[in-house]
Amino acid sequence: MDKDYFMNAGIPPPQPLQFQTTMPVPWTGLNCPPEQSFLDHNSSMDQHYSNFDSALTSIVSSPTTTSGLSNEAFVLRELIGKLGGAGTGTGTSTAFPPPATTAFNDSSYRTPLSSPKLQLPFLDQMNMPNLGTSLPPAPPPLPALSADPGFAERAAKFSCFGSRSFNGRTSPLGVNNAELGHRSNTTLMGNGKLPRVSSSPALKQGGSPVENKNSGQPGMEIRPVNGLASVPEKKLSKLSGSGASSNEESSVSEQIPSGENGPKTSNEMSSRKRKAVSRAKSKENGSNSSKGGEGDDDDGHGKRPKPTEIGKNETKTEDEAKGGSNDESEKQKANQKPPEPPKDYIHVRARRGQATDSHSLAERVRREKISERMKLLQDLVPGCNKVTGKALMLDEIINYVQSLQRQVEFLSMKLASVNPGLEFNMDNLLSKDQMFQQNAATLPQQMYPLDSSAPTLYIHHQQNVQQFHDTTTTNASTGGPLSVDPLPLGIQLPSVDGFSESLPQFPAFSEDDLHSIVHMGFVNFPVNQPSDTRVER
Amino acid sequence: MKTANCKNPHTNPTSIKTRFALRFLRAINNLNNNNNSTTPPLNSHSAAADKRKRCRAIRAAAYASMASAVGPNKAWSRAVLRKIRNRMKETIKKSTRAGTATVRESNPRNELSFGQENELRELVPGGEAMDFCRLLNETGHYIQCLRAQVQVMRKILHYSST
Repeated sequence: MDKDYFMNAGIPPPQPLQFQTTMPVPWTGLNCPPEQSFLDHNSSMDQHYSNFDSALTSIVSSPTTTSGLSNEAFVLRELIGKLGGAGTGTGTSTAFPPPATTAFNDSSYRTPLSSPKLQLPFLDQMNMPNLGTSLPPAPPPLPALSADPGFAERAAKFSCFGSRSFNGRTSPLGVNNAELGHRSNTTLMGNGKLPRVSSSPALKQGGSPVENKNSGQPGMEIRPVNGLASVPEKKLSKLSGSGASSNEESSVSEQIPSGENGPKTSNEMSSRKRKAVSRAKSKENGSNSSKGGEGDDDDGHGKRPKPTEIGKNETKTEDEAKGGSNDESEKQKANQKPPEPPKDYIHVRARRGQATDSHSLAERVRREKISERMKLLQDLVPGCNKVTGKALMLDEIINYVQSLQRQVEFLSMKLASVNPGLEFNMDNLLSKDQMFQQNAATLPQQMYPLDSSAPTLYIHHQQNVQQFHDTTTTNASTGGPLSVDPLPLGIQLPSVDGFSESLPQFPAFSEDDLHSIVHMGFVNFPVNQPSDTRVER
Repeated sequence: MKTANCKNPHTNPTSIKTRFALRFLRAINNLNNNNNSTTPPLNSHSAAADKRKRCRAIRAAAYASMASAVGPNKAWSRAVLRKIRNRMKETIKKSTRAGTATVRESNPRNELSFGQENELRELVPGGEAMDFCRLLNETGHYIQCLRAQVQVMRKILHYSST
């Protein structure tokens, strides 16, 4: 029944006849019922479309219906496979490489029903499975197709979303895409009944819509996918590098309503990044240096958390879009200069009153890049706000890195001395995940309830704990101004009851006191050794 | 690898902590199992030496797990992993890999103090073959990861001691 909906939604009445005649064998199992459904339900297409509209709205409002959507994904896959088989029968020239078909099968699930435009690619993708004989993924989920009654409706709703993103995508898409975009827009505006039918002729255009969908999907899928499973996204992202990179950029939090803006914003973001990249590049270095400096330039936008990834993506986007790179890639550093035409190297224009030779321009570019990075580092390194000047900043940075490395050494030493017989299980991590949510630089003040399986840790090293805590108390007492965190005394395990009162507070080390602690630690550790050996299993 | 989150998993501090913690604990478990299989020394001297050895092993495990948690996207993590692999293979460290062999000359006009820059290069793994700008980038990420590493290790210590 749902299959019927899809068949009707995506394929115009005349075509099913063709599909039926030319359906390839592997899809027969899937295709036979739909074929019949085509004939039977052609008249009821409109009804289904109306169902789609209502269902899509519900889906749009609740983007987090992942469970239902995942089912839909399977159903979509089924449909795509079927339609793909049907599509090839019609002779739509879909010259997609077989390996891509499977990817399409997986990836198209997200977008297929999202728009009439999507449906076109949806149908095209249905062609693809036939072409590539990439049937394995499709046939099994057949039962899932009929499992979800609202699937078709939701798919139709998603198609609306997808069409917008299609519109936004222009780079790899050909004219067909634009046409599809228009069609999808019109369909979006309307109920989608007739427009969907009218969009079918675009199917005959063959490969281009599919390709469009290929490239457009990543962006499209990402947006409505927020509520969907993430696997198809990954597959999509693999499909097209540019799409993937733009996905990463645009998938941040773009909702379906902003689908149109999605690709544009992603382009803008990538363009902004390209601008930053272009800024970093000097005239002489050309493309090579740009690649090298790309990773650095993301920071120009203050996105420190994802510097390299964005840089890598930019590299991809830059390489891919280099041929058709826009002004963005050639934006001037100062943001005051007009965009430059796309070239392999960056055009840097001298500012008013400044030297104009290429060396000084390159120098200026480099200096600005470095100052940007230093600002970001200033945020990272605590206590650098008052420091001005590159030399002092570098000093602070070096000191901070050294102190962090010393901390790691000290902690590893403590770990080595404390846990010779410990078995760390993953239950610790569960509680630790809670800890990681906090950005506390010191030990957490709160107490995290350990799982019941954690007692195994305690049973084996009770004595160890006691010894260790004795040393820590001595450390704390002689460590000077150490801030102390209370131990989680609330954890009452039968084996540890006797120790709860004796557990001293675990000192939270501040970086300044590490030196003294290290020395104390060395002094006290030998005391533990006899007990450690005793406790070892 | 890529998720719908705004932060990339490889650079997201929280996910890095989780991945690092997993790997580090696994490494420590392996270390403990290996140590337990051998008879524990009875005299204090070898015990101290073993402790130091164990400490070094844990430190190496910490850096290795952090580098593997970060992945090969960063030059410093690549350098760390390369060092470990070379050490394991007991071969001379290859310093002419394609990715890091291109030593960009640092223009003196840009650096106020050469000494500081070199110091930073020594601190950050893989920093020798990078231009200053990229070095600053790597330093920033390295600092983030070091901080996460310290926090995780502290917490492990905290839990193991309770």
